[in-house]
Amino acid sequence: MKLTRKEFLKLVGTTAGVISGVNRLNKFAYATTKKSKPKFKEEWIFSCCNMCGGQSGIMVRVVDGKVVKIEPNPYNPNNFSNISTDFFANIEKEGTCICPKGNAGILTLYDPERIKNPLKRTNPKKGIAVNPGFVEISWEEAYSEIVRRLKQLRDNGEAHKLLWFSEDHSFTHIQDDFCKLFGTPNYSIHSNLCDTARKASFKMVMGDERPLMDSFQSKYILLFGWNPLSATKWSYLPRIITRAIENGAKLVVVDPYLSYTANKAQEWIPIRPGTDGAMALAMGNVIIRERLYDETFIKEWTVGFEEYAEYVKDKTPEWQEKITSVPAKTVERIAIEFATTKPQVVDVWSGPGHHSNGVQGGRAIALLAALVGGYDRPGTLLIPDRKGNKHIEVHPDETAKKNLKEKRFDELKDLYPFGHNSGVYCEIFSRLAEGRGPYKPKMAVIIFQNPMMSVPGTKTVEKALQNLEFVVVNDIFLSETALMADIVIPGTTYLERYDLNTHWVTWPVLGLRQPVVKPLFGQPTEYEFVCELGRRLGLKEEDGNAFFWEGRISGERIEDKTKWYEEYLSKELKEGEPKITLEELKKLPGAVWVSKKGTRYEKYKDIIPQEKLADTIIEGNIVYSKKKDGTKDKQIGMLKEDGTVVRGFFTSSGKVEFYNSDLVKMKDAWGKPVNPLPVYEPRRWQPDKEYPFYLINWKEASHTHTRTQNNAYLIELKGENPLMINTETAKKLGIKDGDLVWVESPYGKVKAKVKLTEGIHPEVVGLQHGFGHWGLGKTAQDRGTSDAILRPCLAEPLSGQALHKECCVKIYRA
Amino acid sequence: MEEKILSRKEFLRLAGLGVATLAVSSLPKKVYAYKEKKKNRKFRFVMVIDLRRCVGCHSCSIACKVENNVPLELNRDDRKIFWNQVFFKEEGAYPYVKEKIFNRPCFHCDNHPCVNVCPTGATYHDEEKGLVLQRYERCIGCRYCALACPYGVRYFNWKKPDYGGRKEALNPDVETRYKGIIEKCTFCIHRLERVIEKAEKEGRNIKDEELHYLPACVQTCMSKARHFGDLNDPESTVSKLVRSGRAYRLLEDLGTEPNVYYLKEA
Amino acid sequence: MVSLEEKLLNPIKTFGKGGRLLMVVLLFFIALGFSAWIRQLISGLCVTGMNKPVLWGVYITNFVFFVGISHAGTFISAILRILHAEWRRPLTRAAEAVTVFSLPFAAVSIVADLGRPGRILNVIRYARIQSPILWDVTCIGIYLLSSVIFFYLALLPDIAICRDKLTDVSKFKRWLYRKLSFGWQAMPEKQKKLEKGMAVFLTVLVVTVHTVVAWIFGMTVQPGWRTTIIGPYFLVGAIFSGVATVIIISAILRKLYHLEDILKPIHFNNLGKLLLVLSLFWFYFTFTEYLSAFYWNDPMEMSVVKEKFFGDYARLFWFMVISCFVIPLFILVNPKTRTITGTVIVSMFVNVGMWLERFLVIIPTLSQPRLPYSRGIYHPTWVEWSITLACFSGLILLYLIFAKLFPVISIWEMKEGKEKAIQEVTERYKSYHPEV
Repeated sequence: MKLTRKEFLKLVGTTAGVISGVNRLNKFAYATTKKSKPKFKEEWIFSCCNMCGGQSGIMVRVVDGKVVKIEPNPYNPNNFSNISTDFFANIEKEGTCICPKGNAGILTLYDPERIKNPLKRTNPKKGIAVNPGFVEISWEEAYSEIVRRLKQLRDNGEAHKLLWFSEDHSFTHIQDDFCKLFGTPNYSIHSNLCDTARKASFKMVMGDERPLMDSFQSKYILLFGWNPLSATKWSYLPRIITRAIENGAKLVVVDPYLSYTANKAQEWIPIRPGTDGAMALAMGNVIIRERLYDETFIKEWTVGFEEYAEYVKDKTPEWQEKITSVPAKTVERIAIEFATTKPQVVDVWSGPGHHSNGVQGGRAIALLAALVGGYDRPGTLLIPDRKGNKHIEVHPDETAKKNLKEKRFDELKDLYPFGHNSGVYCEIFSRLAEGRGPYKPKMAVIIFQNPMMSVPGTKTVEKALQNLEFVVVNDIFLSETALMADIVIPGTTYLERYDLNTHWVTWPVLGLRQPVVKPLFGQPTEYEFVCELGRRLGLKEEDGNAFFWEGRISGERIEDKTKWYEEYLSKELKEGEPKITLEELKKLPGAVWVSKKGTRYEKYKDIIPQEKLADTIIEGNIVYSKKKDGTKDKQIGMLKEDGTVVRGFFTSSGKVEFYNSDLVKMKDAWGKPVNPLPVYEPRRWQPDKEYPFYLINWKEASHTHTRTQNNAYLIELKGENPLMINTETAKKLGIKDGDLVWVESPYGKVKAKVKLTEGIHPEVVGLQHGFGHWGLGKTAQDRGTSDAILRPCLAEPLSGQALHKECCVKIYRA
Repeated sequence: MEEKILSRKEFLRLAGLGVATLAVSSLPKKVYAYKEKKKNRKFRFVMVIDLRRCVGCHSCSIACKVENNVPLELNRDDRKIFWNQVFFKEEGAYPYVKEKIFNRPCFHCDNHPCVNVCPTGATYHDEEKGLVLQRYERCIGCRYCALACPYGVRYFNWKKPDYGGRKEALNPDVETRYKGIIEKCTFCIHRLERVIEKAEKEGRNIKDEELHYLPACVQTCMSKARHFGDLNDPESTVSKLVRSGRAYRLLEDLGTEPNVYYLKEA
Repeated sequence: MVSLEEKLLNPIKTFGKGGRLLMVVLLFFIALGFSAWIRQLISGLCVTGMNKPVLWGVYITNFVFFVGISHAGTFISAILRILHAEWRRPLTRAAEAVTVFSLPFAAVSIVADLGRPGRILNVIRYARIQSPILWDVTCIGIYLLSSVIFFYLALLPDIAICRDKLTDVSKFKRWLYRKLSFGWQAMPEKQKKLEKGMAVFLTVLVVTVHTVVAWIFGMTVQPGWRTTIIGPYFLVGAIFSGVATVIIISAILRKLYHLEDILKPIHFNNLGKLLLVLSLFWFYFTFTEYLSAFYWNDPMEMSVVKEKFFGDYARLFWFMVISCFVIPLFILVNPKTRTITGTVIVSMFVNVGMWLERFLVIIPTLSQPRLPYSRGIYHPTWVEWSITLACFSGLILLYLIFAKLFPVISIWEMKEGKEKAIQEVTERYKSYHPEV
């Protein structure tokens, strides 16, 4: 066969045509982006993150109404440094940052498994493995059902039988107001699951609940059970710590587990869980023995040093070695290094705090700072001058007032001498489950909280929720708690709503969170939900003012709930430190207000001018401000021996307290008198033959509590939380890497995958917190192990801190 | 007649030989061209990663994924796509133990084993910026480049890309991918191009500050362990860091001349 | 007694039950493989066991293996022809057919391995001479083309015989013989010359092709592949497995076609000797490779060596050593066991061993990347096995079809041997021993 010329040409032609056609279909990766850029509308909106409670500043790129990227806000100190000098001098040069969770926020916003409509339970049975049989209902139906229940309570004089739980950073003020106006004292927030033990320790020692570490200017950083490089609550933490190391500081971390922070430290000191206090006392012993303490500071600004010195006399490094397993020599060396390297900072967070001896242990550690004069000086623990929006008090009407006089259900004030006003979740749930308490609560509203997983003792919480008549949960996912609810209300993410965030830096800074996109499913934001409830219930203030209708500045009735809330926030800003309106705040660079006055040191020496003293009450040597009605308000200073009034420390003596004789009069929640000294007592639950291992938990930068595990970006990073076991220990148990084991405590047992490591104390096993979901969403489910079920639902007896780490287990192959 | 055949034969033989010689001799030229090109390049973009500062928070990995529309893979670790990845390796024995942290973008080698082996030029070396880039539409998915890369920074789309819930909310500056092709870090070239364009429009050189926090991973780094800049500018931050004596490059003995420098921990 | 010609032509006339059944089975496997491939096209390569860092798996193993066994034909046919090895005559056709039929499946394996097979022409459109893949495409392309021509040239006289002798077969066959024989009459000198030239050319190609295949690996900087002997090592392995394949096929043909008087024990004995030599060569290369790696003690190289010797792949590795070296050595050294059965058993082991060798060249290196942060584990999935099975089935099917259309043993060559061999050998002998 021969091709004719014509045929040949035809063939060539078609081939060429096909090839060039394919050619035209192809487009270049970047070569073309320059020439034919796709057209889109783009804007950048400044806001604050809320993937965790850190509220870092963010800058959100919105393209055609969709969030496509979240970047660090270049103006917000919370993303850079907690020291103003560092911030003003270096921020432009170095730029800001956000953490992986902040970056991944976009997938929480656009998570396909978010709740879109209100849901109503059809299966009356509630429980972990029970299908709630949720059906979608209209907003009207949801509101009227909730309001009907609330009205019933209020009308029957049982308003206090409503329990309200909330997240501790977002939209708290309005919820607090609602509870007050409704008439329930049972407004509780997340804090007591977090660091109220630390708060109590420092409150006892130096009168401030949350001093902040100035590691940036420090030369010696000693951390007990704190992991700031991965539990990056404030995104400035990694920077200020790594800079300190770069500038020659030594970082020493005392922790049973080689945390990311311990990993970056020059020295990791593994310790038995819950014994940090003993090590701190022994360090005190060495520092006093060697006379390395700051004599002038102690003389001028502390009380009770003699008693403390007497107490630690026999608390030698050898004494502590038996308790902590830390070699006496190491403690001796660390104590001397710590006392002689100036400035030095010592800090403690949730590691030692989550044990039943947490507060006193933390107190012993806080006193190490007192020994070396390590308070409110550059490079030490600073008292944050944290000022922002002001929560303006509401005045409940008579009905509400009557109910507000009732005790809180957890009897916070009576039982927990150093309790935090966030309440005591563990007390609430165990009382509910066991039917104890001053009365029987009937209803709960749970907003953005997941106690089923975040409170120790899952089974107790399950029982507690079963014992309530009606549970409303507002969340963005069907969390384990939402699965126990009667009505579930779809919530909003931080990219869909407002908030004011007074930042945790050492001088006044306030960042705005604003809606970047409208709520995706047209749902109300949480504050709008609360406002709507208030409106429907017709809640009024004392003077008959319809609180949820009237604009706080204009005083006019405002139909639009968002506008109403904008005024609410504006008022808080006006009355607070910034003294600007919401609109003005929006226009500030980065939508963040940064006070020019900056970080101030040795504030305790501040002399309070005479003119300010006029309107005060003086009791003993303590000066209080006066309320409008003439009763004493907050502590503002102390009367010195020389007659001047200075700020001092906000303790009962106005000074740092090594010893407080008043404490003997108090009793803790377990009925024991409070020790006036920072004594070391072993925690209540010690390992024994049956349950030989300490079980601890920790958090990593990639997840927040139990709420981010449905974020695909974050789960992709690390899809499970293996049980970490020391290699030697595992060898003795005959367990290999990757084995499945049972972790069993008297309260339950869970399956876990083992990962061997050299980086954990041989007597300790541990899990990253937050995994093991059966709710939330498909991404989160069947991943890793939840440890909450292994623990009793117990709180620390002084502060009400949930005991997340007091647990002993046995381990055997599954 | 006889002569003619011979001459034709000879001609063919000669021609064949010539082509073969040309082809073979052009090979080393092509392979070694990078040296000459490097000298004349307009920019030398490098990344410097300070391992002393890096805390292993993974912020860079996620920022990169979000910025570059990198697909998700939730179940198989060995098929995940991370243009930038953080690794840990435990060293030492209790209690003297450390998790060595190491993170890895694409190294944008000047002597690029991946580009050398690519049969279609889907992987190419951008002459002006000195970056190794990918033309997705040319890639046949042979994965040879990924094999050849000694650093393992090239990722294959084993399946149809999964963008989770953000299918509608992808970065419009970055082309999306599809199954069966290779993708990798581009040093956020779309952001880089914007800066270059702007400078060109204003008729000036790029300022060092403009580059500082350019790639998404550098911008978001929590401990500011990452730096980015132009090595051709001797006064740039990266130039200073590279000269600092702490700088080294990974697997330098392979002669790949990577453009990512690490700063030693101590 | 039937004549040689009849004996070889008779099987073409019929297509027995066994043949049909085999064909159905093979078509079933091919269909299965094809459906697996369709599935792979739809879902992407996630249906395979490949991953990162094990980016290549069974497909590439098959590719190298098929290219390897394709060397049988050329080697036996071309090299033995050039060397005037008389005993080659009944083997050439079988061997050349292996070449021609296995190469397409090397190409199929590559297509199966691609993430975007639709773009395969990009390799030519955007050809880059730097890429070893282009060298491969070129070499294998030329090799396939020349092999087909060579095969065809050697087949031509027999097609003519078929055309002339097989008058009672189906219309299609008659038409086929008529068309393919191109009116071929006698053997002109020119053709013989061309054939000889082709033989030389192909020999060169054999060396090039498999070296280039080896260079796909050798041109990267990965541990385990960075060795200068990788080219010859692959080549020896290729011929090794090729010869083994020819032994197996010859034995099958002998049995099925009752060719006991054509394919005699001596042929197998000779092939067995060849196999033994190749086995020794193969071991020599293997030994050199690992010895230098051991002595060098480069951590990267050693991690791969350790993986093969003691690690996850140790069982496969030692099985390979036993199959490719120990068993051939023991069976083939002894003339008593170097029988037909003996060589066939050895050949089977060699083929399995050589497939494993290809596998072990690729996988352990990939699973131990330089940076020690991700280690790969590779388990091929049913998709990969199905496509592999389909490739082998395809090879057998093509062979079956061929055997039912053309004589499986070169009739003219046998005839030529009978007529001229003694004379030729005598003349040759005389040429260097004129005194005799």
